[in-house]
Amino acid sequence: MIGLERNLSRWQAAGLIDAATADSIREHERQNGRPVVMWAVAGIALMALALGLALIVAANWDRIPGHVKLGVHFAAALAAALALVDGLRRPRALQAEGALFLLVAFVLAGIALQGQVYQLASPIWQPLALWAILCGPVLVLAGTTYLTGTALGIMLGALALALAAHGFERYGDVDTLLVGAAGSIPLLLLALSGWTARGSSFAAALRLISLAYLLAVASIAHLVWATTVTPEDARDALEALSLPAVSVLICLLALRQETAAQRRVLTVIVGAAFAATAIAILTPHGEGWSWRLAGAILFGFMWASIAWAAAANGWRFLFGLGVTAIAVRLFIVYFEVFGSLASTGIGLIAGGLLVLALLAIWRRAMAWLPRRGIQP
Amino acid sequence: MNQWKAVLAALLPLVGLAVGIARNEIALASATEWVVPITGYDPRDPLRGHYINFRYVWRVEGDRQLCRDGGCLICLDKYEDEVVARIVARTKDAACPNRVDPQASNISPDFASRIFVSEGAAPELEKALRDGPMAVVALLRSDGILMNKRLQALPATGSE
Repeated sequence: MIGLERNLSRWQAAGLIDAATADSIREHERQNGRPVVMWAVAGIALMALALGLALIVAANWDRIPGHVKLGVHFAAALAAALALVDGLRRPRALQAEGALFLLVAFVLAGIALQGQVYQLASPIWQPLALWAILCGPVLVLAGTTYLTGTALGIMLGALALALAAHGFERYGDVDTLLVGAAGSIPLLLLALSGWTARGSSFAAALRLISLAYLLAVASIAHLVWATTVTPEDARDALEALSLPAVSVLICLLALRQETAAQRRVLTVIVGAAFAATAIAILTPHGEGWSWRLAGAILFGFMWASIAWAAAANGWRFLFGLGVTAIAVRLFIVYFEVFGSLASTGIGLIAGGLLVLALLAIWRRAMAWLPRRGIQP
Repeated sequence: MNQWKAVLAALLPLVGLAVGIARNEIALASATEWVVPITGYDPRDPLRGHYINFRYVWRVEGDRQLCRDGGCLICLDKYEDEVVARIVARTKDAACPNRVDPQASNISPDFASRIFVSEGAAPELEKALRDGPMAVVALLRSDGILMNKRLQALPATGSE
């Protein structure tokens, strides 16, 4: 209420609202305000209760027989599945979504619990893959909102990370199949976002997460330009790229159902990200500054084409992201090339001027695009 | 139509969990119990988080290098109050009735393993492990997984 009062007097002083409007806003807020403090206190009490229970269970964990743990857990998973089926049949969207999310969480906990009770040992990607196999289908078929879409995105993202970590585990001996599978996951997630019900927030969440993964992978792969890639490394990379290449084709097929504008921007993103990654890991190179510069230029091309496609289709956020990525990279180039100067006065002045110039270009671009009929 | 597909898909995780439990229970049904002497992995500080880290104290026969290369199996045998661990290559070996798969059992090449203990039991177990000879009671499953069940004090023998 204090914040509101301050804003009201500010707006009144600026002539945006008159005293009568301010009074009616005040009255409206008083009547519709929620007892936030009471809810907050009750929430803290409930959390303390839940934490206390969890602590008692945790402290006596090895005294609870394994069968009891597995039995209670299975009953909880069964209840979630029944609530999901019930929510689907009535239909009650909110109940179905909540139950689906719980079921997915219970299954992960169940896989971990079996691992502990039976003392199973395996690389982390295997239980995550089992989780994805068991829960992926129900998420795709029954998920409708951001909640479950994000759950699927995080599930597959975790799997991709675990696959990549395991694939790169042995130095100099990359498991190209696992790394390729990890690289395919963002692309398959994007394809999935085209196949699931269009317009649903589930598909929107998948699309957002898949694009974030894709651009993150391409941007991280660009760091390869700062290391040496031997011809043997490049051969490994070619093997690792075969699965993602197939996934690109699947992705393009899935995108055929999109509107022409959507398809254009998504094709540019997939193409630019894949091309930049492929060139970075397939080109044998050293780690001298000339290679770094080549990498930076390629990085700039990738983000420029993505930003351009984004601006042309009104994807304001992606356009901003692209411009920011290029600006940050330019700034890093400056340090790479003139690193030793950065501690001198002249170096600092030049660095400051560079940032100001980048800001000016950014402002000009933002003013110029709408005039061309483009909505950034 | 899509609805019954979703219902079927909702059953899949339950079936998967149940199959996992069943598989493990079947492997456990014919398990044999082994009491293996142990020593704390780091004698001053055996407790790591919720786990007690220890090393199996058994008489090792065969080439340890095989285990460091990740290609070994361990054949357990009892020999006058002593547990013998015979290392063989990871191939079909007919003369190995009590076969331990160190990778699936999470046993390191120098025979270290661990067991989960609760906060309440941890201090006394840690002390017991520092003070006297201890043993782990473990179940050897038909699929080669050696499951540590509990720690117990080893009855003092004349040779100690």
